[in-house]
Amino acid sequence: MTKSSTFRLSAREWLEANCPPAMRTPPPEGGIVWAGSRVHFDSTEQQQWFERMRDKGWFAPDWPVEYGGGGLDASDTRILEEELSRLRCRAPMINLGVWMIGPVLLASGSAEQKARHLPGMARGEVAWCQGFSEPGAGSDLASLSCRAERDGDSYVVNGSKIWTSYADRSDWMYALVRTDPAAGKHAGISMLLIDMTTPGVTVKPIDLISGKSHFCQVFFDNVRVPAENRVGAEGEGWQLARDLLGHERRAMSKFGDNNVPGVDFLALARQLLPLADTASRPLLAERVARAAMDEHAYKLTLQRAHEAGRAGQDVSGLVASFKYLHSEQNRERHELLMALAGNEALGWEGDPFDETLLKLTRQWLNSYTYTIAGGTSEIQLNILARRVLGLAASGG
Amino acid sequence: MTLILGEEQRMLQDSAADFFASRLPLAANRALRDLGLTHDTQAWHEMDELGWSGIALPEELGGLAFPLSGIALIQAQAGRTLAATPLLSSNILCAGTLALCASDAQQRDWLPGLASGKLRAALALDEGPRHDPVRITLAAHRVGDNWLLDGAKAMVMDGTLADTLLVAATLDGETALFILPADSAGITRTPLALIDSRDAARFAFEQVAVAADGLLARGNAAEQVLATVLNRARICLAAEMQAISRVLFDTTLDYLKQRQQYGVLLGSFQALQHRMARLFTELELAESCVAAALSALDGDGDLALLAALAKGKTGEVALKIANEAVQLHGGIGVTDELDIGLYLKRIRVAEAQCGDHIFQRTRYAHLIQLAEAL
Ligand SMILES: Cc1cc2nc3c(=O)[nH]c(=O)nc-3n(C[C@H](O)[C@H](O)[C@H](O)COP(=O)(O)OP(=O)(O)OC[C@H]3O[C@@H](n4cnc5c(N)ncnc54)[C@H](O)[C@@H]3O)c2cc1C
Repeated sequence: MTKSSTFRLSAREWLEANCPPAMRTPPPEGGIVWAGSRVHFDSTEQQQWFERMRDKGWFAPDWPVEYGGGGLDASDTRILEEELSRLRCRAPMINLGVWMIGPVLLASGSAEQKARHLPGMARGEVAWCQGFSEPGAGSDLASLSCRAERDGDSYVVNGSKIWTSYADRSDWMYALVRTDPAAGKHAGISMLLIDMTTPGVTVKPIDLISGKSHFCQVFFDNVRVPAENRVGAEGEGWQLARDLLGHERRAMSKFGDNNVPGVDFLALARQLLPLADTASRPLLAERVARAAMDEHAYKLTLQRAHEAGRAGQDVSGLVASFKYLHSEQNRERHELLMALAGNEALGWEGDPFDETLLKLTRQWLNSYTYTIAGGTSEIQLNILARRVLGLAASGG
Repeated sequence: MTLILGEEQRMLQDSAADFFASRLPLAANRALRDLGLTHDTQAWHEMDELGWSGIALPEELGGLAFPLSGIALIQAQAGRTLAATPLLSSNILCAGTLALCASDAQQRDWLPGLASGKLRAALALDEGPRHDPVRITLAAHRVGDNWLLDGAKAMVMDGTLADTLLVAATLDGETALFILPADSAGITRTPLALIDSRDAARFAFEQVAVAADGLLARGNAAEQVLATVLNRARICLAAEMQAISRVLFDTTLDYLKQRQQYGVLLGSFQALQHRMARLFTELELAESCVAAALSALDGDGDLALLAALAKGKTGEVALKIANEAVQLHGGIGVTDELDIGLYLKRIRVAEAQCGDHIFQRTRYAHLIQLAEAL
């Protein structure tokens, strides 16, 4: 038996023995553990799955063992991902440390930063949030203005970050700040690691159209950050952020199908259709079929990209379309379910309404965030047009 | 199910690409049209010599041991240069039916001719304006040992060139499939001039006598075989439309990178960039559907569901891309000189054949159990 088939078998065996059956079903919205010092579990199965994966070193399977990782090479890491997906295991946790800033530190952090931060990420003990967007800098991220002024051994940070996911539960933030307002738009940006307990940091969760949320605005009022917490050199922040967003894309693709929270579109549509008014039913059914075909086509496209990638073909164009397709289709499906459920989906809360439909309504409202967060649909189309199709950049 | 081509499939695809590029390039097909011809008989013989007409048919009857997906791959390459082939009618629809349900004697009678290309067959099915495999009114009666056919077929692809007809009829309220020479007494055939300048004919059947062994199948068996070969044909048509979509997309993208207005390239206008980017995502979705359907064609996957998905999705996308291709070329887009119009017309025909995307979507709805609501 080859080395990789031996590993595949042992990984499969271990996952079968250690992933509780309840963790092999699609998670509800918010159903994946947010790792960190304030970790909270909804069930014992969730906790077991979290702890077992942590102790195995498989939160960060491809990191060196000295930093708490699993020490797997690239090929075994991919095998592990395939086995996780085959068993339909949920992600054991969400951790922007492991997924996003960790790989950047591994590549570009100082020895001291690696030793200090990586183990806590790999064990899911420290929660990280991403402080990039600002009230004045969204799609045009490089126009950010949150200021970090050098003062002796520290930076003094003033300004604000917005949309920071889970800032209210995070221990640390990796942030883009402007260290040199005189330098060019991109050249004046640096990356800082900020301890969220530092005096002067205020976190305010934002209420969304779907209700309470973990998306926050973070205010910095003369926050002192030790200069040793800067990643890379001054002015290197933009390049590091680009590296990091590359990891984001990879992380999101790992996140895969098993972990997309949400209702089973077709199952719910089949339940709701017979209740619809007879006259509208054929048209509704036609729209359900159309959305189901699009979803089917999308899933086949994920599979095709996976197979083609393994066969060594260039799938960067395909992959660049996933975020756009998934978030747009997802919103359309939710809108269609809203139409199918009619008045029964108009409830905000309360016993008279069916629990599934109340959840649907919130998820419909939530579905708008996916076409905005992580680069809006329009920005995705810009990227496709310019990088994949090679059309010249214009003013937009 | 695998969604990328295997080695053998890639080799066939490459040799088909070479064949059409050198033997039936777009300019040659345009020239055929200008001469009022529907196809190049000599080139069809060359296809026969390559063994293509015998793909997936029994070897002992002259067939070639290659999976059915081979025909879809050839069809796709033919699509790129708009070359007509005999494969869909003769092989997929007619020989495919014989191989599935005919007796040994019937197979020996017909398959060697079809596999070698000596015979060309066409399926006479649709009677109304839209594809409708369940509404068949052409009637068959038993008279002594023979059968008599009475009725009409509105659109038979390759019906003018065919020497053999596979006719769908109703017999005692059931579907029945007959095979007979196309010049049988009582048949009137009227050639049709189509927008894609391919071969088609309208047929009237008046007291057409068919020998006893002309009946291939009836009832449930006939319906199932018909459903199977139609699904296979749908996948081949999907592969062809997808290939055409790609040509149109690439052509349009090139144009946007070269045509200037207002002192800048058209491709720098964001409104156009987003339209192209959207089309790109649609094109890739359709590609995946075709890939899955090719697997199903070779027995790996749900043939009916993937045929509906692939033909439905590629048809919808192909129409969209063809429309955009015309629009984004501006005035020159509506001239006959530009090839885009030729592709547009072929897409319209391929879209309609064996059920357009609306038909396929309805099929898909039935297959995923939404039928009660329809
Ligand atoms: C739920 C949620 C979670 C988020 N989490 C985080 C996080 O954890 N950390 C973080 O840093 N950020 C986060 N974000 C921020 C997110 O990245 C931004 O919201 C996003 O980049 C868009 O910026 P904006 O909201 O300022 O919109 P704007 O950039 O102002 O865009 C407004 C509209 O204009 C369009 N537009 C903008 N530029 C162009 C252009 N060039 N061409 C065409 N159209 C254009 C946009 O598509 C959009 O429709 C989150 C956002 C949301 C909604």
